[in-house]
This record gives sequence, C-alpha cells and structure tokens, in this order.
Amino acid sequence: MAFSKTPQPILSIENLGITYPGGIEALRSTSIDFQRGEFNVLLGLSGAGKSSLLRALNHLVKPTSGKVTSAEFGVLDNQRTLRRHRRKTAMVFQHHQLILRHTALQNVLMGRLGYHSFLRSLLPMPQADLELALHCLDRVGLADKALSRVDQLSGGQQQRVGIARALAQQPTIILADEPVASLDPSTSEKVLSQLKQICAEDGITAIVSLHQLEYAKRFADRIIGLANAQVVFDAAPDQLDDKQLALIYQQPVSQRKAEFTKDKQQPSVQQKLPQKTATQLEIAR
Amino acid sequence: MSTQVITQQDMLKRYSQRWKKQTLQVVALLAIILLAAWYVNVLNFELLANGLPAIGTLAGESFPPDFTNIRNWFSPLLDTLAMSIAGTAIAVMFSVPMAFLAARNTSPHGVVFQLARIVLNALRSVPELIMGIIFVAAVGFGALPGVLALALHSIGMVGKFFAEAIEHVDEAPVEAARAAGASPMQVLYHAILPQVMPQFADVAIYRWEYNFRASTVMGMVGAGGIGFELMGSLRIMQYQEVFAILLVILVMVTLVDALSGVLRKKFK
Repeated sequence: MAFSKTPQPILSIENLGITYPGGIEALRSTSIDFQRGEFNVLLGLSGAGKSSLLRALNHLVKPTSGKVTSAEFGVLDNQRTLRRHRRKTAMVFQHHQLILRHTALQNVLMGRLGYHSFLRSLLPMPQADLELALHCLDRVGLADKALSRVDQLSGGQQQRVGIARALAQQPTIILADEPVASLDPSTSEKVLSQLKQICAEDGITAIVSLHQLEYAKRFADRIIGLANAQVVFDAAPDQLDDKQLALIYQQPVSQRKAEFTKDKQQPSVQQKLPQKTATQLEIAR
Repeated sequence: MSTQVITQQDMLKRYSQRWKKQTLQVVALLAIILLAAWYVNVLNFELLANGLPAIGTLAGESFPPDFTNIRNWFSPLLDTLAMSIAGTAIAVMFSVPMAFLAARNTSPHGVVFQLARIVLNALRSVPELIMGIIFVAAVGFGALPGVLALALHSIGMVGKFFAEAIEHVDEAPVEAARAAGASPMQVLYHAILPQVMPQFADVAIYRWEYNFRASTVMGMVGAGGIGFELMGSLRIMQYQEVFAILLVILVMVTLVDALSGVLRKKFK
C-alpha cells in the first residue's frame, strides 16, 4: 500500500524512550513515522522492546522521554486527548485480555465504552452499538457464538473475539501485541490473514508485534526490527537479508554477558554436568 | 537485568536448607499451640474431670425438649430471619464503595487507602453484641437495633473481603478497557466489578448465613428475635425449653445453610 503514503503520518513518535523503575531500559530514544493504511510489523525476540513500544503508542506504558503525536488529535499530553486517541486506537493482546465469565457480545461491547459517559454506560448499550458489536463478531466468523461465555471458546476463537472488540471501536489504528504467540500455527495464520484483510478493507493502520519471521515476511508492508531496545532495521520485507536478520535476532546483551560469566566460573563442580544443564540452570533477570 | 549462574551443588544445598527451615517452622507452631493450651487450662485434666458431672446434670435436665410453646416462637424466628437479611443487605451496600477505597489497586490515594482500612478494622473490632447494646440504648428494644448492629459490624468484614477480591482481580481485562478509552469509573464498573461478582456474592451469602446465627444471640441484649425467647427460658432455668429452642435454631441454620449453598452455586 505504498501508494497511500501521505506527507503527514497517522501516528509518529519522536525520541521516545522508556526506562522502567529499577533502571531497565526497554526502549532507547526512538523516532518512527507510521503511514496511513500500512500494515507494520515490529519484529524481534522477546524482551527486545516490542511490547513496550506498542504500549507507549497509547500510553498504557508512560514513556520516560519523547512524545507520541497522532495526526487526528495532536500530541498525547493530556487526559482528554489521550482518551480520544485510545478510543480510535484499538488494541489486540497476546492473551486476548477478555473477561472470561462474560459472553463474547458483552466483551465486544467493551470496545464501545469510550464512546459513552460513565452514567450512560450504566444502562444497557444503545441498539446501534449492539448491532455494530454483532456485525463485528460476524466479520470474524463468530456471530453464532455471541451469547457464549468466552471461557467456553477455543484459544483461536477467543483471540477473534479480541479482534471483534477492537473493531467495535471503529478504529483508525489497531495495535496488536503478539496476537498469535499463544496460538498453534494453522490458527495463527487464520487469525493474521483475517486481521490483515479487515485492516485492508477498512483502511486501518496496523502495528503488529511478532517474533516469527515467516509471518512478518508474509503479512507486513513494512518491517521494523527491534533488538536490545533499539530499531535495527526498518524497510519493506523484501529488503530483509541474512545480515539484517542476524542483527534482529542477535542475542540480548544480558544473555551474552551471562555466558561470559558462566565460562569463567566453569569450575570442577560442573565438570560432571553436561554443558546443556549448566545453561538450563541459568536464571535470567 | 542481572544474571546469576547456579550450580547443581548450590541448588541441592538450598533445597536442604529449605527443608530444615520448614521443619523448624512446624516445631515453632506446635510449641505456640501447646503453650496457649496450657495457658487456658486445657491441659489441666483434673479441672476438666470435675466439670463432667455438672455437664451431665445439665444435659439430663434439658431432656426431653419441651415444645409446648412452639407457637410463640414463629414470630421471633421471622424477626431473626428478617434481621439477618436486612442487616446483610445494608452491609453489602456500604461495603462495595468502602472496598474500592480500601483496595490497593483501586484506591484513589494512599491516605484514603489507609483511612478506609482503619475504618474497616474499627468496625470489625467492635463485637456485634456490644453494638447491639449501644443501639438498643439509642433506638430502644426491637429488631431495628439488631439490624443496625449486624450491618455495621458486617461492613468491617465484608468490606475487607471485597477489597481483597478486588486486589486479586485479573489486570489483563482492566488494561484492555483502559486501552479502549474507558474512564477510570468505567474501568471499575465494567472491567473490575464483573470479575469480582462471584466472590462478592459468595462473601455476601456466607455473611448472611453468619448473620442469621449471630442474630439469634442479638435477642439476649434486647435486640429482638429468637434470642430473646432463648434468654427468657434460660433465666427461669427452663432447660427443656432452652433445648427445644436450640433445636429449632439448628433446623433453621441447616435450612439457611442449604439455601446459601444453592445460591452460591448459581453465582459461579
């Protein structure tokens, strides 16, 4: 969808940095412009900073430096702007994050909360919202499960309810954090193609974090590779060669350090243990 | 991110240390229990043996149970039932907002959190019988002081359990609601409350059961109900009647227990 590139990005981050309490740096000062309608994939190992970056885009994680700017609402620097931005920026999570004892329909209606005041949301949702929610469930192929409790659905179905909830927000952007990491390969493919297709149909900009290279290559318009809290690659999937891949899938600094220490401390006690066991006994973090 | 390397020997050493520690803890606990038992004369078998004949005499005097006045007990029993239901309902009503203030993850401020905890502790630490005496003095004899006493004391316990349920809520749907642009109040109502509903129902129903039992004693301080009858028979040493009333209460408690079991299953 390169043709749709406009001078103004739909969402951009400038010098965004995230350091968690305790000094763990999840993202080093990063700037990225996301173009309208593109399917972006954040690719990297777990711990590379994908989740933190995604969650900073709607301030679920508060960045410690830099800013996020939405084309529609401006810089996210106050509660009101943030709420409007969140309403239009839906999120799909690795573990779906649904309320298990609610029905699929009730969960999808959660996507409409941002459109109503607290007092209004105490009453049953308006007819239009109900119809929209049912339509969203229909689009992910779960219309017949609308009144089933979510804990009675399969993993793949639960994730699709998660996508329907996102669609119910009528979003311009969808952020998806490892949406298929807990699904089996064939379900993963179905879920990702569905997401891609819906985004294309509705002109939704998608920013999806993945750790599987094949999916990234297949679905992405643009791949942003992250390693050690930094962007190490940013281009179309066909630009990705072995050298670039090595950069993305390099071992995290901390683990490499650990191996050095291990080598140094290889004393007599461990001689009986096979090499592998010594590695397994490592407790990271 | 710090990384530790642990050898097999370290692991085994830690394992055996943990076992020693656990054994020590169990021994310490047993010592405390024995000390407490000795302190309250439970280990004084001579004293216990002397008490047995007296208990035997009382048991003999209570037999057979005397149900001649049973017609007069229906109305007080109904009072007791109504007191327990109304008291629990009032307690739940005030416990929900208190719980949100007293739960670490939903309290608006650290000071509010501490204050709410103090209020709950205070309500819990005044026994309902004492509250009953106070309310009888304030609003006179009858079911009303009983209801107020049960309600106020229950808030302390129910509020604490509600707050604990809120603290153990799954944060994932909460994050999802925030991500969808829900306001803080909407998050409380739509993402947290649905999750804690089964626990809330569980605690409320259990508390109703407890309040029914507690309201049988409330009558002793003049706060209405079957306890009033019980106290009357006890004062004139009509032990056969006391036994009969206790049996009636047992039947009612069993019924309430069964009903609450059914209700709780419904809320799973």
